[in-house]
Amino acid sequence: MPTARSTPPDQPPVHFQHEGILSPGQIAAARLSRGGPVLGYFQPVEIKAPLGVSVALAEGAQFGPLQPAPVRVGLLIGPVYRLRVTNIPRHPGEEVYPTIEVIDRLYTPMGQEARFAIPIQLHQEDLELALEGKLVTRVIYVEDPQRALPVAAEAINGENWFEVGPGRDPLAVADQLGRPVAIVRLGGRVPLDPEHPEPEFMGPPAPYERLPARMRVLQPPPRKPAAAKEAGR
Amino acid sequence: MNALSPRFRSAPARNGPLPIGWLGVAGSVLGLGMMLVVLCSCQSGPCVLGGSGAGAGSVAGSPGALPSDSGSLGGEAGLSASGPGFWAGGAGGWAGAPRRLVAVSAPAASPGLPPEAFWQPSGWPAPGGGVWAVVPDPQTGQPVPAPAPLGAYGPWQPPGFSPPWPDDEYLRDGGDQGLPAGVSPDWQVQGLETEDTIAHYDTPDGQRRVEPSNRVYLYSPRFGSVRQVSNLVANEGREGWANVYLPTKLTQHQFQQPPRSHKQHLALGRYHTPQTPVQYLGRWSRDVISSALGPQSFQDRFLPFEDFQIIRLGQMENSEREALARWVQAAVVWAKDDTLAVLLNEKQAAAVVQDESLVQLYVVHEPPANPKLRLVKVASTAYAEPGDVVDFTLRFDNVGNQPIQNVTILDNLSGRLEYVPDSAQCSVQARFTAEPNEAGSELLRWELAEPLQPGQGGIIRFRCRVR
Repeated sequence: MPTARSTPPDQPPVHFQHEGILSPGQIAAARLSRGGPVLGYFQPVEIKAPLGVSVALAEGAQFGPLQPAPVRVGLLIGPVYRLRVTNIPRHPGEEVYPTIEVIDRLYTPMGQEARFAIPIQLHQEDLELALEGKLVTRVIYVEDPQRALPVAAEAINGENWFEVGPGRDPLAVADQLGRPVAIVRLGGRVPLDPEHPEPEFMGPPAPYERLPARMRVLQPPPRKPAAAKEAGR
Repeated sequence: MNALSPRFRSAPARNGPLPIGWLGVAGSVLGLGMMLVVLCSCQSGPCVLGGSGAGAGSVAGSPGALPSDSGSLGGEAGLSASGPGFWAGGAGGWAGAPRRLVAVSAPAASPGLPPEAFWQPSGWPAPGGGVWAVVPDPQTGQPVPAPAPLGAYGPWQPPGFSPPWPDDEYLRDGGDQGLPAGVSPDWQVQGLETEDTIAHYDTPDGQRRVEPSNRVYLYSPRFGSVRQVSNLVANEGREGWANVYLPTKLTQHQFQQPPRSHKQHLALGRYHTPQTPVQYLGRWSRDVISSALGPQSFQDRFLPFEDFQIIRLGQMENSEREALARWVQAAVVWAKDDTLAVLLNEKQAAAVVQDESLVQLYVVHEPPANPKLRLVKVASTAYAEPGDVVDFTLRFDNVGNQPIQNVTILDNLSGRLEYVPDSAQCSVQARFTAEPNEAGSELLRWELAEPLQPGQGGIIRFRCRVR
């Protein structure tokens, strides 16, 4: 019986026949060519950033309104989405323009799509490296539960990540650790005029879905024991 | 993995000769050969006792499964129809689809579906005048009847894959995967992998048996990332946007996107009667009714997700099967071969029906001694994010006809589940221990202090936090 990992040899279920340094959009385009229910699907994505950071997505030839992070949107698999990140802590007046390329989707049970979104974490260190002129490539993957580290999510600040050196391919490493679903690239060129960026910088326009902000149900305060309550009376 | 099983009683006492009382019970069951008299009134048609009551003819009109479909028993996908977005039809993938035919209503009953969902192939007459949805078999390429409409029972999944899919987005707990678990004479449990949940017990005739629970699935994907920092100058030529336009032609994909994007959102058909009721009926026995357990031994009363007869009383209710299947992927864990079989003069009842007689007198031989433990596991939710707390409930019942002793229940937690300290409860007297396991979590163990009589059972609760 075929399993989730067994596909014809000519189409292995991995991405590392490509390189992570390919131009933005090429890896997602290859994923579309492999078929499956990925065409036209808006994959929920949650863009997280340090407190105070505002994010805007490209809407046509301009950026949309700035929204405080985290921002939840539905992105298509294939296009490259350009972001505008401002209000970076300790860097007033500076901006970073990362790109997000969704290369695979989640198969969330019906009704839970918006709850389980792909987290796009814009770390403070990554933003500062981009401001210094470095190119930061971050490949987000779904962990294999059989090989997941037995650590709580709070202990790793909500995300477990690894660093690879310049000589290695981050996409290949992510493929070994799980299933890559998105690529974030920070650094690189900036628009000549942020208010009116040139079309070459923005790239082809791509639609996205605006999703409502995440609501977290808070736990009720602990109830006092009945004995203490009686004693208080 | 080998796990030492420390006992709170000395091992020689458990390995020694059986008590006289046990031998007496076994002898009374085996030796007496108690004869039962059953009055059966059959006016027309075959009468089947102890069977599933459905055959191949049940595929038309109402969903049915062949009695020989043993692949749906005790497997991880046996009750997959009502799960969170899974196919109906049971385990085994589409390669065995001819054994898992599911009736399909006429297209008019499901408006709004694409016409190709009801394409009628030549040479495949639909039973009962219905219409089949047809997909090609991934191995042979031949059309195979399948549950229809396509994708009506949940999110898309490729043909030939067993739910839940994809497996990297689900947490599993329960069952006995990999090497089958076993218990050595020195009480070492072997073959207990991570995520396994089993119970082992001793029978009156000195055998030591292992019974796995069903598997529970939680949708809880966790993400990681791989970062690479490189000098921008070195990648300047490759990262230029101009490369995107010329070789890759991104705009081609964008113009192809809108027309067919709605096919995957068809979901109404999920509420079609997805499962065959005979999968439950065939496994009822007269001894599964346990004594009612008083909730006073728990800190709380029964929780909302435990509101099933099989959890409260150990009694399977047909009306609860769909709701139960939402929390349990395979509630039936004992093999069909072990189901109590009723023989009528050493023949099946269907072979002795006569039209001229309204009442028949049958002599039934009681089946031989069959000690059996049933272990059912449910979870409080089917979706969990890192940090969420999930309640698990284990219901164990002695569904055999002999008392069993030295009952020990083991749950080897996954590395993504963290046991909440002091959250374990048991409705009967038991010794509980939690020790670290190789996955970085804990191995939970309950050792029941008293033997379980036929019909007796209990409930175990514990709580885990998703990492």
